[in-house]
This record gives sequence, C-alpha cells and structure tokens, in this order.
Amino acid sequence: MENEQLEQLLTQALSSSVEPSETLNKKIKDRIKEDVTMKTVHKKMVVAFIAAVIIVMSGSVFAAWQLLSPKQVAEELGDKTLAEAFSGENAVNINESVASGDYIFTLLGITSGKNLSDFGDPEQNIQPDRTYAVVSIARKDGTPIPELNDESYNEPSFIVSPLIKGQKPWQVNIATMNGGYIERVVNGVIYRIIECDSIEMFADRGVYLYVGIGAFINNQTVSYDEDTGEITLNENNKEAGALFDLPLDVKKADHEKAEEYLQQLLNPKSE
Amino acid sequence: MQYSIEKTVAERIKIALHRAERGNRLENRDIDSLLMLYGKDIYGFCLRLAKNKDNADDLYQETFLKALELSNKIDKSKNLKGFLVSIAVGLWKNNRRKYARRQRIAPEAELNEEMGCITCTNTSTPEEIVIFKERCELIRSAADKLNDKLRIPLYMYYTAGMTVEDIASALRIPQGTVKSRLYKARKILKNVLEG
Repeated sequence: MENEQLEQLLTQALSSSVEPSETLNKKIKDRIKEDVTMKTVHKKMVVAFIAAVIIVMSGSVFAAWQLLSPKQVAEELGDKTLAEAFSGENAVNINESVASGDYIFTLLGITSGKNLSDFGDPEQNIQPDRTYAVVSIARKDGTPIPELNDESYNEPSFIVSPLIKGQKPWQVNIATMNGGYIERVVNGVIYRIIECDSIEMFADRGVYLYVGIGAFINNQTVSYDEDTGEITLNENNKEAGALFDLPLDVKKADHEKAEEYLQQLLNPKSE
Repeated sequence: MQYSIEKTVAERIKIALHRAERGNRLENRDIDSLLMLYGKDIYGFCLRLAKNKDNADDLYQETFLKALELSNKIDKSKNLKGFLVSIAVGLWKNNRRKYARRQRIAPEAELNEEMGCITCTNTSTPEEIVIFKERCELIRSAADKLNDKLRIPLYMYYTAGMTVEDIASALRIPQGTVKSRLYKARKILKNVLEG
C-alpha cells in the first residue's frame, strides 16, 4: 500500500464529523457559572483549615482527613493489587501530618509483602519482599500543586525515602534499596507511592520515612549521629522536610536477614 | 459570513490570550470562543479517546472546565488547541478506571456507528463502499489497541488535526519523538491492513 493511500485512509478513518451538541456546550457554560469559582474556594478552604489546625497545634503531628486513603491512592494510580493490599491485615493506616515550610506532609499508610503490585516485574527484584508507603504533599496555604500537564510540575521536586536507624542515610535509602515511586496530583495534592526492598526486617532497629524538598538524601537534609545511630532532620536545612517514625511490627524483624542485606548493599563487590 | 464569525472568534481568542498572559482567568465569552473554534476537534478527540458518548461528553465538559481553571497557565506558544488536548489527555488518564467501568456498560459499537467514517462514501460502487468501510473499521479497531504512547499522538494528529510541532509542545516531548511514534503507529496499522 502506498504511503499516500494509507495517509488518506487514516485521515478518513480517524477523523470525526460529530459536533458537540448545543446542550452539551450550554452545560459547560452553566457549570462554569456555578461550579468553578465555588470549587476553587472550597478546595482552598479545606486545605487552609487543615493548615490552621496545624498552626494551632504548634506544628505537632495530627491526624489527617480530607485526603485520599492509601487504598484510594493505589486505585487512582491504577494498581488494583496494591489497593487490595492496603485493605489487607498487613497494611497500616497511619494518617499523620507534619507542617514544614510551605507544605503539609502526610504519611498515609504502609504495607509490605510479596507480589503486592500490578506494576514491576518481581523477577527483576532480588528481594521478593517489598515495602510500599503512601504519602501526600499539600501546600499549606491551600493553593493547588501544579499537575502533570503544567509547566511548573515537579518544581520543587520532592524525595521520599525510608531511612534505617544505625545506617548512614546517604548509604541506605530509597535509591540504594532498589526503590522507585509513582505519583499523581489529585485536587492540588501530590499523592506518591514509594516502593523499595522490604524494610520490615529492620523493625527492631527503628525505621524512619523522610519526606521533603530535594532530589537526594544527604547531610543537608538529615543529620546522622555516629554514636547513637539516630537520624534527625538537619536543623540548618531551610527547605521543607519531615521525618516520620514508621510503626513497624517488631515481631517481623529479622536481624540475620537484615545484616546479610546490608552486607550486600554496602559491599556489593564482596559477592 | 463564515469568515466574519471566525474573525470575531479569533479576535476574542487574542483578547483571551492577553488576559491569560497577564495571569487572569478566562471569562465566559472566551470559553464561548474556544467552544466555537475548537469544540468540534476536541469533542472528536474525546470520543476517540473515551470510546463512548457518555464518557466523551464527560471528558469534553471537564476539559473546558479545567481549561478555565488553568487558563493562567496557557503557554506562550499560544497553542490553545494543544493546551485543551493536553488537558483532555491528563483527565482521561486520571479517570481511566471510571471511563473503563462505563465502557463496559456502554460498549463502543454505537459510537463507531455514530462517528462514522466521514468520507467513506467517496468511492463509486457499493462493493467499494463496503470494502472501504471495513478498512476504516479495521483501522479504528487497530488504532484503539495501540498503546497510549502511539495512540494519543495518532488521535492528536488525525482526529484533532494537530501538527507535529503542536503535538510535541502539548505532550512536552521532542518533535522527533512525535514523528517516530506516528511512524510506528502508521507502520502497525499498515501491517494490519495488509495482513
């Protein structure tokens, strides 16, 4: 078949002669009159109200609401299996928020296990057990965060990473733990699901989740105490950031497995 | 007469763009102009993407409402059609599950009949018309099975009537990538037709 003929055929097959109805166009104009202003005001009011509560509570951790649940986030991102996992027994709904800088960071939930996601190839992961955590990031003043199709999307960028007590954060973090993330902006709020090798084996040591502005975990974002192994937010960091304690079940800790994992991670050439 | 309407609409769009550039939101009369100028192309694109009338009506409405909300973000290239199409694509991706659910309830057979093949009847004999319609149907069906990376630029090009440059700008990918995706899509469809 000649290219010209194909081109003609494609144009004819794929073009459309259907016009939107007058009623449909009228509906749009009516909804613009009624909805848009109200919706924006309402959205701003909800987030501003959350911000006000945080300010009243002097920046302490508080329970979040008006946000999607981990299950809903997984559904939004099209991961049915993970959505089911977030309603399972092993999932922990956390809903804790911290206000920092211009943002409110909320840790919504966490779950771990094998084959919990529709995405990714389990055979490509050396560790079949994976951890999934869901966080949301909203602006404190209620203005919506730019969406994917917006030119200012991902400005600033955020990093979300688990950190292990007793391990240098710049050595053991989402990047080195075979991690990744998917995210979506819904109603002006970023919802991000991160995944990495399971952190449950570290449950007896103490595990944190860092959320903040930046692209890497380094000594600008967090501080590491060599003596105690404690990880804290770097007080000199002017960018917004939060450090959550992950409520993992200590019974699921596996000291030997964790040691072996760290050996491989920290000394890859020794294999 | 047609010319003068288009001219008026174009003037209004210009004013709307100036307003958007100053960071102001579009007004109702700007939306009127957008609907008049791009309504048909955007609606056709929504129909192809969403596969049935209810979904397409929904997507089309939401696209214009979102456009109003994001109007102060219109890029300086003034590619308004691209702006609207990129919003439609974003909304469709975000609501894919909802649309898929509806799709099962209202299958696309009715849609293809309704959208038709606009110039399928430009051939002479009844046999040729039948063959032509079958080929159109084959193309639509094969196009619908392409992955989004190929399908979306294909619909943007052939259904929404966008240029390669405008598609690249709307999807924020290089023009070369758009060309390569269109080439791959054409190749697959050609194989289907010849297979």
